[in-house]
Amino acid sequence: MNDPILQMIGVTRRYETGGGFFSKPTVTTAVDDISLTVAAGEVCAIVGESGSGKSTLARLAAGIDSPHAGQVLFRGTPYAKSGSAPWRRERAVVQFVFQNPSSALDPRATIASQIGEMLTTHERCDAAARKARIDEILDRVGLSGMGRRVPQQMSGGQLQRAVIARALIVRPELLICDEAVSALDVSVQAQILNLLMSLKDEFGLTMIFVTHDLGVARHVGNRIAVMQKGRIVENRRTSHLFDRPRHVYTRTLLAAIPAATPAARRTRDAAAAEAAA
Amino acid sequence: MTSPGTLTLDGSAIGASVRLAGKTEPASIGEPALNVTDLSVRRGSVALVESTSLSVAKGETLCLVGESGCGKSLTCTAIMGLIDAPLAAEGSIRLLGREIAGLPERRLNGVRGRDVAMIFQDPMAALNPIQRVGAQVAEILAVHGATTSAAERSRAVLALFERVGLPDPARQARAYPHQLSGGMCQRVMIAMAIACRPKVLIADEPTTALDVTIQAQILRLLRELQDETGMAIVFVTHDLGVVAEIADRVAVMYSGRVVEEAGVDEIFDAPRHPYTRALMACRVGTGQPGTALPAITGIVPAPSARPNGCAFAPRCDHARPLCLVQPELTERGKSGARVACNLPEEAQ
Repeated sequence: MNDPILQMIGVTRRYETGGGFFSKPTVTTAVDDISLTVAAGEVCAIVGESGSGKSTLARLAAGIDSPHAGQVLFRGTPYAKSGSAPWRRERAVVQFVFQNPSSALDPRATIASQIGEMLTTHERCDAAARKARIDEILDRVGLSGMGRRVPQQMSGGQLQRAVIARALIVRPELLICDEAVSALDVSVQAQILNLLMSLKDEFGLTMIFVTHDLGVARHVGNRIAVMQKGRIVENRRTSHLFDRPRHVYTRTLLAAIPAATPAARRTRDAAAAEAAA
Repeated sequence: MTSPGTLTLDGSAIGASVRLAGKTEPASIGEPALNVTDLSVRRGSVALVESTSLSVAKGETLCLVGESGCGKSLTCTAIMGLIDAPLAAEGSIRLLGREIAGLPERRLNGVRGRDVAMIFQDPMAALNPIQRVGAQVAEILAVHGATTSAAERSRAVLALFERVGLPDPARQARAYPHQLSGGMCQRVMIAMAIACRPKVLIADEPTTALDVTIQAQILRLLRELQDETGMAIVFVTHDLGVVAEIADRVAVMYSGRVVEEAGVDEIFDAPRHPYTRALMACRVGTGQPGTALPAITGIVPAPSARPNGCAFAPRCDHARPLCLVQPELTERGKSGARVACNLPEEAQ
């Protein structure tokens, strides 16, 4: 295993929900005493159902949210205090891709200006170099010549490419994708997954890939962490997890994956009927 | 309210025992419960759905598959007679042998919810947020006169809730939608849809917003209900795994048209249309993990910017000059599969 790039040690994050003028809020523990290590260069998939805490975990890993207890270490040191100079640098090395690209982009600004804003924030570079960098990354994600468009003029898949370009233009080390392909059609989903996988090799990225889709997790992840009710119940190499799931919840999840073909469904149902008899 | 005649439901005696009384009607596949012919939905001069024909037999599940914007949901909306200006629908929709396209709203109201019912993708948005869910289901029974008294209705609602697997029906019936989870709301929607024992159930992506374990439960529930009542189901989904779970027959739509229609095994084992084949190929979980998926290049054209001829041709690896002509949906092979592709059969 390579050096750990990200370590989460006993991390807990709580939220207060509900609560009105007369009632006390309920406290939900979204992430409950989680420890997770991500090695440089690996793709760690985090799967779980809605409300399992996987998005909270992703936000904690990115340092855009802070835990109530425990520590998040990036290359061995905690994330800096927000607003400080080291914090600004860290913002560039850890990047985030969200589920819904149209809400992650400014509807009124051109794609090129939104991507370029990253350079303005994180790096010093002159106008010519800036333009060259923007064109280069647009080319790389398959959006050549589309820099002057605004989000409304682009499809969902193109918008997600733009979000990926914006994340990668500052050459991050860790890319966190939170349901990055969930809102896309299958054909487009395949395009974006292929793009992410080739960019990963090219940029030497480490990735945390949050998804509810076990098929996607299996395709991209070297390792899968299964979350349930704020805890990681199983965290193993992808092939081991699929071949020999240990935790009962992992087995439940795997059993709920729809059959690949109608024939596979009939085989499964027949086996289940036999087991019940 | 429409006159009974052919539309009379055995379910009129729904009463307190909504056990859906075993197999009252054996699911005999054959007689079409729903027959849609040459359905088009237009906005001005732009056709969003174009000459689509579908038929579903009693006890059969037809899956309508395709990517966003291909017209799946619009087709369903049109079947339910819910197309409003600026959209306009034309074509024939025969429900249990009777034309319902163009029926006046008042008469359609007698059909909708009783003979044909719909489950929507987002149950939270489809339920009234300020009315208790039990009352919302009871309203369907009251409107269609399936019950005679309020007490009978509430008993029927409880029986329905129990049937769709809502735990503690009496308590859930008094809940508002926001107090229930997505899966629970979807069960309420299903209870509402089957309350009058429709002959045809239209399910528009009913499990897309749900977790995979809940999805498995809902699919199982729909299959059981179909076995009990022999209803025909039109099931819209973009997920081919769900298709493998629930379909008897599959219609693949692309850019407003059906491009292939065949039995579910044929669609998986021997897809004919290049689009169907490409869709099958780019599923995750089928290939070797980590390898590049065979993605379809390009995007679905906007309805206003469809190319001449076959709409899939610009993305198709096998496109030839003859693809500039609009292909007709024609029968191929002996199984009754229909394919809209200009390529000769051996090239498919």
